[in-house]
Amino acid sequence: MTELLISEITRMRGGFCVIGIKKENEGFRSVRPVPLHTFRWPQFPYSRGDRVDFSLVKFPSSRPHFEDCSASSHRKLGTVPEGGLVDSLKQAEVADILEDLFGCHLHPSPTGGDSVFAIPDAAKRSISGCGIRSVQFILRFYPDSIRVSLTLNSGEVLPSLPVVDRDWCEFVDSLATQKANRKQLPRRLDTFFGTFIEQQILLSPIRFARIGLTRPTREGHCWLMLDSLFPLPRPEWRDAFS
Amino acid sequence: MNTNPKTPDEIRDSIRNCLRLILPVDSELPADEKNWITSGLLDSMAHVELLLCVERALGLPSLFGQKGSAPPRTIRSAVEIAGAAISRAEYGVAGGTATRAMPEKNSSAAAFITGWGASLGGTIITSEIADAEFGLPAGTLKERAGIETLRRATQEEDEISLARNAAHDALQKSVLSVQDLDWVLATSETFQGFPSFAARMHTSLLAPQSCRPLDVGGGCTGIAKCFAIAEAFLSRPGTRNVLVVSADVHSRILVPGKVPGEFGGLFGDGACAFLINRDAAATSTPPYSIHSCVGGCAGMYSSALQLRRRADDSISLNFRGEALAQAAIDLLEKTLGELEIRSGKSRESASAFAMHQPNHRVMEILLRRAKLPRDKVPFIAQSCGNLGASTCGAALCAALDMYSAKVRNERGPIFLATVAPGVIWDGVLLD
Repeated sequence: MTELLISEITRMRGGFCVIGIKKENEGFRSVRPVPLHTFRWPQFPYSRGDRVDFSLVKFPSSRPHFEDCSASSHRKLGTVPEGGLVDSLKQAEVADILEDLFGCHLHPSPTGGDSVFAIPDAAKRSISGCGIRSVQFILRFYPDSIRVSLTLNSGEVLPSLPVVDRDWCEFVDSLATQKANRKQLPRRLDTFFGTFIEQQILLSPIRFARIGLTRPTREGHCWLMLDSLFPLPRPEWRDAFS
Repeated sequence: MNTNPKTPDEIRDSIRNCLRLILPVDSELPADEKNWITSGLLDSMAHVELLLCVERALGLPSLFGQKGSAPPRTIRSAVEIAGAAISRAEYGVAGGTATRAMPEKNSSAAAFITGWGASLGGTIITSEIADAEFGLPAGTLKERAGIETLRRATQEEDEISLARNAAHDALQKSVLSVQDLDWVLATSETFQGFPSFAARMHTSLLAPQSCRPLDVGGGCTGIAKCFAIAEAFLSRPGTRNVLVVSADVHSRILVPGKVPGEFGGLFGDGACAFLINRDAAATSTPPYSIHSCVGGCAGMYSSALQLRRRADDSISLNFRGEALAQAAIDLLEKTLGELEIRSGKSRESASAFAMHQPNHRVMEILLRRAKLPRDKVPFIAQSCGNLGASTCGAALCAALDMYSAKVRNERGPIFLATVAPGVIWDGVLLD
C-alpha cells in the first residue's frame, strides 16, 4: 500500500480526476491514482488534505501523464490541514517560471484565444505547482466554463485557465444557487470575485496554484488548466455574497 | 476597406468560419440548430475558444455572457445574440449603422500610405567582425542567428539624422511639404533624454508649431502602434497628414562589455518613416491604406527578455534566447491569424509580409510554420541585423516599393506583424 496526501480533486467529464503526493527522500512526488479501465473516478469519497492508502500499480502511461498509477483499493488514514498540504506541495514539483512548469515551451491557442497548451512529446510531466502574485477570475462564460488568469511570482502571466478545481467550482455553483435573479448572475459573480474573493486570496499566506495538463487532444494539444488554487474557498465567504 | 458583418447571413458566415478554425480539419460544420456541447462537437475548452474567436471576428469584444444570457451553444443562438448586440444602442447604432460594433471602421476616408522611406546605418560590418568585437567564436552569429552583415551608424549618424533622412524620402514620395504635417508620431527603443525623440524630430524637420509631436513606446512594435494611432487620429476632423517615424541606434548602447554578444550582436542601426494621409487621389493605383489593426500582450512570456539600465550605466539583462525565439514565432504567427480573422483576408492572397525579424533563423522557422512564401517576405535581419521598430518598417518600405505602383487587381494586401518584450504583439493589414 502507498500513502498519498490528496492534493487535487478536479472535475472531469462525468467524474473526477485525482492526484496525491507521495513522500520521497527529499520531498514529495505527484501520483495520479486512476481506477481500472478509466482515468476518472465516478465518485471520490475523500477530500483534499486527506491521507489515503492506495494499492497502486504503475502502468505504461502516455506522455506526458507519467504520474498515472492504477489504484485498486483505498482507505483513509487521516487528514492534514490546508497549510500543511500547501507546505508539502511546495516540496513537490514546482516551477518559478512558466517554461519550467512542464519542462517545455508553452504555446498560445492556434485560434487566437487566450488558452495555452503544451506539446505532449515535449512536456516532462503533467502537473506542477507555482507561487502566484495575483489572480483574476473570469466568470462571463459561467455556467459553461470558469476561467482564471494568474500572475506568477516571476511576473509571467498564465491567461484564461479553465478552472477544474472541484472546491472552487462547487463554491461558484453554491453562490449561483443563492442568487434568485439569474439574469444578473455573471455580473454579480464578477463583482464579488473581483472585489472580495481575489482580495482574500491575495491576503492569504498560503497562496499557491497547481497547474495541470489535459490529456492530449486529437490535434496534439495538452491544454493547461487550474487544478488547485490555494487558499481553498471558505464557507463563510458565501455570507459576503448574500 | 473592412466590412464587418451586419446581416444575419454575414454574421452566420463569420461564425461558420470560426467553427472551421476550431474543429478538426475533417469535421463537417454543424447545422444551425445543432447543440455544439450536447452533440459532443465541442468540449468546454473548445467552446470558449470558439466564442472568443467569434467575438474577435465580429469586432464585438465581450459579446457573450455579459448580460446574463447563457453563452450560445448553436449557430442560431450565436447569430441572434450578435445580431441583437449590433442593433442595440449600447453598440452605438446610429441611423442603422453600428459604430462601436465595428472598431475596424468602414473607413472610406481611411489612412493612406502615400510616402515611405528607410535609412540604414552607413557602415556595413560582417558578422565575423561582430563576433570578434563581442569575443564570440568566429561564425557564431552567422550560424546561430543567420546574420551575415550588420548596419551600424557612422560617427556622424544618430537616431535623429537617420530618421530625418527617412522622413525626407517619405515626404518626397508623398509630394507633401513638412508644413502640411499635423502630427509627428515617433518611436525609438534607443533614443534617451529630453527633448524627447518626437520633439527632436519636429525641430529637426522644422515642422510648423501647430504640428504636434507624440512619442510612442512599444519597442519593436512601435511602428505598428504608430499606425494604429495614426488611423485613429485621421478619423477626426482637422487631421490630414501624419508622419510616422522610427529610429534605433543599438550600437551605442548594446556594446561589448555591457551585454553578451549572443544578444548585442543581433542588432543593427536604422530608421524608417511613413506619410499617412486621410485623402488619396482616385486612380487605378490607389495607395495602400490601413485596413485592420490588431494587437495585445501575452504576459506569459514576459520574463524571456528583461532589460534595464542600472544607475551606474551598466545594463541588467535577462535574456533566454531559446524561449524568446519560440515566443516570437508563436506570436508572429498568431498575429497573422488575428489579421486574417479581423480582415477576412487570407495570407494566401497577400502580396507581401513585412515582419519583425528578431534574427534570420527565427524567420526561417516562421516561414515554414506559417507557410509564408519566401519571395513575399523582404528579409532585413540577415543583412542589417535586428533594427528594432525599424525592422518591420524597413521590410514594409521594401514591400511598398515593389507593389504600390501595381494596379489594384494585380496586388494583394500586405501583412505587417511584429513583437516586442512583454511580450507585446501588433499587426497591421494594408490593402
